[in-house]
Amino acid sequence: MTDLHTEALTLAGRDAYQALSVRRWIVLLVLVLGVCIALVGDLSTGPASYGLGEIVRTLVLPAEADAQMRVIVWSIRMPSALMGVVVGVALAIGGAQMQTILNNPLASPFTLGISAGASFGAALALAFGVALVPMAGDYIVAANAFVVAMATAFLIHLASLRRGASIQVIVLLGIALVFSFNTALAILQYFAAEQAVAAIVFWTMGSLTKATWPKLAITAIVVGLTLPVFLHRRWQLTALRLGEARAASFGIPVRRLRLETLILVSLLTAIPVAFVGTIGFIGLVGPHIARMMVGEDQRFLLPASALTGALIMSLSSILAKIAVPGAVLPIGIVTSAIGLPVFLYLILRSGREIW
Amino acid sequence: MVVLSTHGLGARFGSRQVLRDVTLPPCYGGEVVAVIGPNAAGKSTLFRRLAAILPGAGECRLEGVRDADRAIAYMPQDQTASAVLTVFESILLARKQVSGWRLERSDLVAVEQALAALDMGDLANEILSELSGGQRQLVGFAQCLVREPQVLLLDEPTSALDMHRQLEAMRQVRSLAHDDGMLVLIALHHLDLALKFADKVALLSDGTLHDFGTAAGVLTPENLAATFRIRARVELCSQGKPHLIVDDAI
Repeated sequence: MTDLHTEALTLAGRDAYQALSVRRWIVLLVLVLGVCIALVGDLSTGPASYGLGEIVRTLVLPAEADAQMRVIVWSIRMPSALMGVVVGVALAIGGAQMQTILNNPLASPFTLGISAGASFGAALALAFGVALVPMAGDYIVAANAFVVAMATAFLIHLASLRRGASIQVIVLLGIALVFSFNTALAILQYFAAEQAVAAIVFWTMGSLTKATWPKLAITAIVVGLTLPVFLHRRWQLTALRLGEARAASFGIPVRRLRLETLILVSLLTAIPVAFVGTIGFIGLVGPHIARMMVGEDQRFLLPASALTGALIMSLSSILAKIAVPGAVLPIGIVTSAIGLPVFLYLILRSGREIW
Repeated sequence: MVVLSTHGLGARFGSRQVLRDVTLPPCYGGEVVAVIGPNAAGKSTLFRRLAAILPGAGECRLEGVRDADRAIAYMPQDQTASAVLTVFESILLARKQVSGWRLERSDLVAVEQALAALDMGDLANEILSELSGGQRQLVGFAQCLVREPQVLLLDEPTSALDMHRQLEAMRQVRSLAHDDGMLVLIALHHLDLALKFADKVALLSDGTLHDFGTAAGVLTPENLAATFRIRARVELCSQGKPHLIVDDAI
């Protein structure tokens, strides 16, 4: 009798697991649909008012559209809208993995100072033409941002390896890094020329209007190269959330996995920030919303984070264009305005556990 | 049959030597070996050395292994986790570290069997972070079982379990060894459990192997006084079963 009872209960467990998986696939499909709709919406909004039909016609039959329309849709709105999606994907995946490897719910490129580091690196180039990477050429700003962002990520990694480094210590270190870079940035701005200051301020606000097809291609390639690696390691990365001891007990080389993931995450977050400037909270909020919807199995969490990040970015891009008539707000302002309340909610939701 | 032996195992944390020259005599598949000792005796460190997740001196030899990747399953003492995963998922996760890339039906069946073996099917859909300490220990145990190892290293798997669950878990451990031919090394604080269920006992003290042998041979008043600092003795009850009688702390 007991055996039959147990059998029935465990079968219910398998059934429930499979039902859960189906539900998660449906969530992913809905998110894909949402991103597609938001993307079309993003393409349809802008200072030049065109109807949805005209936009779709230009997208499907570009040769039949008039030249101005073609340029606006294909050379201005399309790279910007797609960049929004790709940056959203990159930042959200980067945030999700940063939270995973640091076992820290508040980890994200923005809260841990990686974005601030990128801003400082970019400002070095914008204010004084300092190139941290020789021969960077036209990409001097992006290259500088990338180098400082990577260095910041490694600093955080080193701190997280220290014995007894708690979640609070890492978050505090992140806050300290944000303040340090902001102070350094203020010093740079104080000594920089007026024109350079304006460029720095605009850069730090984050804007998709800087998007071009080549920048989009580079960002997409980085996402395209890193995402399969994460997906391939999905079981190992999920196991990290059980804690270092248990992950190690499964035979996972925890330190190596952390380090390799951090390198990829740094790449994934530094590249978009280098191209479009500081875009806050996507890397924090995207994964959290995804986690609430699909849990922490990386087979679902990764795509759900990516799609949530893309969706938030696309919706923010639309909002940035329609919030103030006749002007396009820097998207970083919009994402921060949306993300900050969510961030506060995450902190205040529970006294002890924030996952 | 799997055979595990060690020669001169050692480990240090910084300048502190926490395990010194531990040479275990051969332990065979089909045996339950209880590893006992007072706090900070080096039990967890020994397990981590045996599981090859902690570097250090000496050598651990394993013979008669079918598949090196899944030969040993180790359950660490710390079972806290804040992951948003169901019990079913977290056991499946342990299984996927040693099985193929794709999720197969056999993986799901193996999880079911592990849950059934520990009579914890009713916990399958519970969220891991919302479980009690004892329930988490059962999940940790199931995570080991689902990997179908030849050697099981359990670091204090019963410390948070109630008496009924402790006895059930120990019965399961003994069955895994005696019926399935597994070698089980289990760190225990309850010396009575070691006395009742272990075929052999390794007594650690201050990072060294103090004694090794049968439970009755190791749990002598002299050994207990020297390592645990207690006045205790083993006596047979009216049913002829051995019990540990503790008189006082020294």
